[in-house]
Amino acid sequence: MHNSHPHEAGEDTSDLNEEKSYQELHRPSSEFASRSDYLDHELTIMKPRRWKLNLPGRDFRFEWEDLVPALAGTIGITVMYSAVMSSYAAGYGLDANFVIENVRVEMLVSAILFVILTSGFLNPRANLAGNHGPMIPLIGMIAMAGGHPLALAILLGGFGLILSITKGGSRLVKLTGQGVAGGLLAYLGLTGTASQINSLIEWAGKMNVGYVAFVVLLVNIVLYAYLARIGKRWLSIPLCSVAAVIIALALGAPFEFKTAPGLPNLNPMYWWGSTETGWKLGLPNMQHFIASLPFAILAVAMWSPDFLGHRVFQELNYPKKAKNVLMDVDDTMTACSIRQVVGTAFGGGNITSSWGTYMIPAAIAKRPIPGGAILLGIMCVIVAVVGYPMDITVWRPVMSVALLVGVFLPLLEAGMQMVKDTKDTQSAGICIFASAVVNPVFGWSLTMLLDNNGLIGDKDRSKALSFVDKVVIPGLAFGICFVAMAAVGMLPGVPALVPAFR
Amino acid sequence: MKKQFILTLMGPESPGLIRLLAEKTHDRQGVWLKSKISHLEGQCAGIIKIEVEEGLAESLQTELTNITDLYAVISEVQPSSSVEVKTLQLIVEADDRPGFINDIYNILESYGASISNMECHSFAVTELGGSVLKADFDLIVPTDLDQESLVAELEALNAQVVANIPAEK
Repeated sequence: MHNSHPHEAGEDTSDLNEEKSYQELHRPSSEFASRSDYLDHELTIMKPRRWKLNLPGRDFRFEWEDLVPALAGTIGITVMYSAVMSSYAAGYGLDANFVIENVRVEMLVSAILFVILTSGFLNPRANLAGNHGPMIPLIGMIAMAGGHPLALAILLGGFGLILSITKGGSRLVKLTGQGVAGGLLAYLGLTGTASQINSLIEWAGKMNVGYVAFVVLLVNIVLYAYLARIGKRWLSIPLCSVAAVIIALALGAPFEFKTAPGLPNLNPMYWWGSTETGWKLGLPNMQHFIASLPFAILAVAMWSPDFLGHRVFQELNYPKKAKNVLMDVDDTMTACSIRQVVGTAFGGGNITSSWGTYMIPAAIAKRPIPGGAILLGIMCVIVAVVGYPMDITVWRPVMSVALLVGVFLPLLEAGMQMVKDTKDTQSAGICIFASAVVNPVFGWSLTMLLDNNGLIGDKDRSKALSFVDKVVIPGLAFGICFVAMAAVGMLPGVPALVPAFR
Repeated sequence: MKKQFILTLMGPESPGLIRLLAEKTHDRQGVWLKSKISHLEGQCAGIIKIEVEEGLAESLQTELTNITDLYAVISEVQPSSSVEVKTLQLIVEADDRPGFINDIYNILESYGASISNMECHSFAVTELGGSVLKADFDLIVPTDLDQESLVAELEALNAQVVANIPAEK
């Protein structure tokens, strides 16, 4: 399948590249001095088709390096889906069977329709739609506030589609200053960290193996620190999870495989059509939409910076000429929006975003999106059908450790890194304060309004913003979130404005 | 016709010294095109690029070199060196660290580039516990700017930096 013309590896063929297809430009790895040169060349010659059929061999290839993001992504998403569904189950009083079955729904629907079909075959410039890690600590609040996963999904998907059509994502990036964004991430990371440590200690106490929690955490602190030191933090979910399993089992923590192979119920009416089955919530009504609205606004506001972070990281790791294989932020937003609505319509409770536990290893391994996506999708289907691996990911030592090292600690560190000078520190501190008073939606929307108007933080940044970015959008965001939260009784000590929520 | 020259100065720091130099330049309709002035332990050293009408250059140079307690040297500048400028877009993406933007400023300054507009955003890469940065600059640069060398210097700033000059305006 390679070009029959003899080329010297490394020869500059940039002009020819524009005209020739991937198939014509592909050369076997044996023609290159190193594996890295071969992978770089692959990245520079690919021409993924947007919203058209892409085929293995003709448009992309599978390499063993694709297994790196595929494995990391599968482990990461299984844990994250398990965490989301466990939080919802705790909030709505649902049992462990609900958690496993709902994770299976998400794994199957997202893997087949969106990971394999969308990012693998139809648009390899759309990064995979995964899980929105920073939203995990908010799941309990969404349930407590009377939110409804389907209402949240419809709102989030709708907002996302509007942003991708209007290309409004770049405007959203300008809206939240560095201090506010850093404060928000640090707060979410810190509350998530504290919550997972408490959950693990509490679980160990109940199982009469209290010491297991301490030893597991101690070993993982050291392991996490070592991975951070050698710059391999993206390996922390698989390695720390394995360490947690070995230590907890060796110290006598109880574990058993319970889930048999099988398929989940994929009938939307089972999940949403009754108060007796599935989520036991029925279809969402207006009150559910009001309660879900503030969280949907925050989730979509965090999409653009999340997507752009992944895209810039990809650019930093790929060779400079590899422009065609970089993820397209708008296409990713379109795919995420549709995946959010469709996945939840089938019953899944996940809140989606650009799939970081896939993209980061893929960028480091110098692989483009499609090959690894198809492998990852197949692995997710296998995990969902076989079922046993989910018994491990919902096991408390694994879930807590994976969330600590894979989501909350990096979130906390990223938040702290974004707060660089005293002006940012002020906005970040006030954002954390306001988040603790009500919740992170209140903290973010209030401090964004204050920060953008120069009342806190960097006054020079405020001067550079337009009236719309300073007053109109932050004012609307805060006003809508505040009224919605007041309506459903989320403001502490203030009775809900809508009697039905009292 | 305009004439450009470089004034290099050194001497004890005194209140109003810089204002005095600026006033003397202004009195002869001269302008400071670029300047770098440093203060340390009561001493002041600086280098200033000045443009003035050719007929007034000599008298301005005499006035500037005759300021009491100030050691000043005049160096001629070839007129063709940087009079002509053009606009240029520059995009820098990098793993973020404190002081990175200041390092970019210093490099741009050393290439005689001035920033007409800048938009800079940090994005958290939460999976890595860090952040990356994207900075878009609109620059005014000398027409003979060595773009490859500028890009190479910027890309040497961090372990991971990509600098691009997409298209000349």
